[in-house]
Amino acid sequence: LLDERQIELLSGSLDGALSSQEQAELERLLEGSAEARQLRVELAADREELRTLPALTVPASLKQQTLLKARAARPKAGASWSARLMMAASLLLALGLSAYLMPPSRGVLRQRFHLRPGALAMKAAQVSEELRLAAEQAGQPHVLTSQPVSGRYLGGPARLYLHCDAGTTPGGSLLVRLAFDFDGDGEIDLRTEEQKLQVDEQEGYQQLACTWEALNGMRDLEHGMVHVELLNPSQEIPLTVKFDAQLARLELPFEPLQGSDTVTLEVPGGGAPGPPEKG
Amino acid sequence: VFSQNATILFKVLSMSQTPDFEDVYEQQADFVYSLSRRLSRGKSEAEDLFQEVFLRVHRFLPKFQGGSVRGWLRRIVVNTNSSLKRGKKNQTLASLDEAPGWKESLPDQGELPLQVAERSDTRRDLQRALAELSEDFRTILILREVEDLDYAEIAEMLEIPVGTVRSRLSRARMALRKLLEKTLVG
Repeated sequence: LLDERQIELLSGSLDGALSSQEQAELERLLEGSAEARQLRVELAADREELRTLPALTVPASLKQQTLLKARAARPKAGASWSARLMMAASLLLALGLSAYLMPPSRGVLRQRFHLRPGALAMKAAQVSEELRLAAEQAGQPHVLTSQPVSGRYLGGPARLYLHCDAGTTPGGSLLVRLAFDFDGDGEIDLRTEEQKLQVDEQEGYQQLACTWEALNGMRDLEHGMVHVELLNPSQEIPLTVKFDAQLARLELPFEPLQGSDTVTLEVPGGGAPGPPEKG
Repeated sequence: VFSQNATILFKVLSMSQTPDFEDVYEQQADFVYSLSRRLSRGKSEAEDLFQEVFLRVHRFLPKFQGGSVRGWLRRIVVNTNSSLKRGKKNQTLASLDEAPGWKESLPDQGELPLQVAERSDTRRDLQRALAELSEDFRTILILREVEDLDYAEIAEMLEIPVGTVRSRLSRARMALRKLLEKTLVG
């Protein structure tokens, strides 16, 4: 029977962790013991099996559930007093804005801010009403428009997350694109490619996400405007879009400049078309 | 048409270089889940671990000092696993269905059906044996063989001397071997 010291030599040899003296000792052991030779082969095989265990993918339900829990959790440490004061001031400012922007009869919006360091991120507030993109209005985009905002363009992709429902009719889709008026003169300077997002025929909302990787022609925003254009291309299938307070957001590759503290994306009633394109 | 005017507010704040939680989550969730499954005795235990890890990440990310995010996460997974286990001593062994990750073990492409079946059986045995190991043994084996950390890195993470890493690893390998032999005999 091999003793603990001999087994440790065999184990250590797998890791290349033996001194020259121990290596010599191991060689003598292997030469004189069939059991040691056999065990070394077995340990090496076990090691190989461990090393080739496949990577696992987190189940979607767990992934979403954990993200929601984390977002709901308040940081217990890390925020400095100045950051806390800034957040409190921003919250007050936002609440004031919401009261100003929304008549009381429509209910008070509850804002939830998404803080995304180094990038301009828009987090949807809880919109009490869903946005309905009627089928008969196909071809008419619905535009969400920001307040003036300033930010330095960083490069990188833009992303939008929202929820959409097409009822139980198959074949629904939503066209989405972004438009930028960099200097706030009321004319669109750049429109992204439109993205077509398929909407399933399952009952209830489905989370949709789209990414614009290449944004050629982007530049800094100087009191500029950002528009999100939504279009239902179908003549038959109505869509309902929802900006879920927990999950919807728009991420743009801009570093916010001072003064761009709280901004609003507005959805004009009646599905008004976006501003004219420059040139 | 839109049923009424609606307003969406968005907020712009911190400009620090701290990684964004959601970026970290998106990029590292599978890594954390894989490691959680390997270090746990069963799926539900791993899911608890996974959730607790990301709650801690969310809480402590503002204090992240830079460097390897994955290394930082690995340490959180290992520490969280230990602290959760301390509160769950004397728990019963997991069932086969609960063994770490065997259901997700996919065969390599290009293998013949017989090889696939054999590999699948071997992996199932291995994962069942891993589930039966003590936490100390399972952790050190996973850190060495799956995470490919060297002795010094393991010693630092587990806060034990390098010599202890070597001896514990040796005992862990033998314990695993005995469990696998028992499976073969049984």
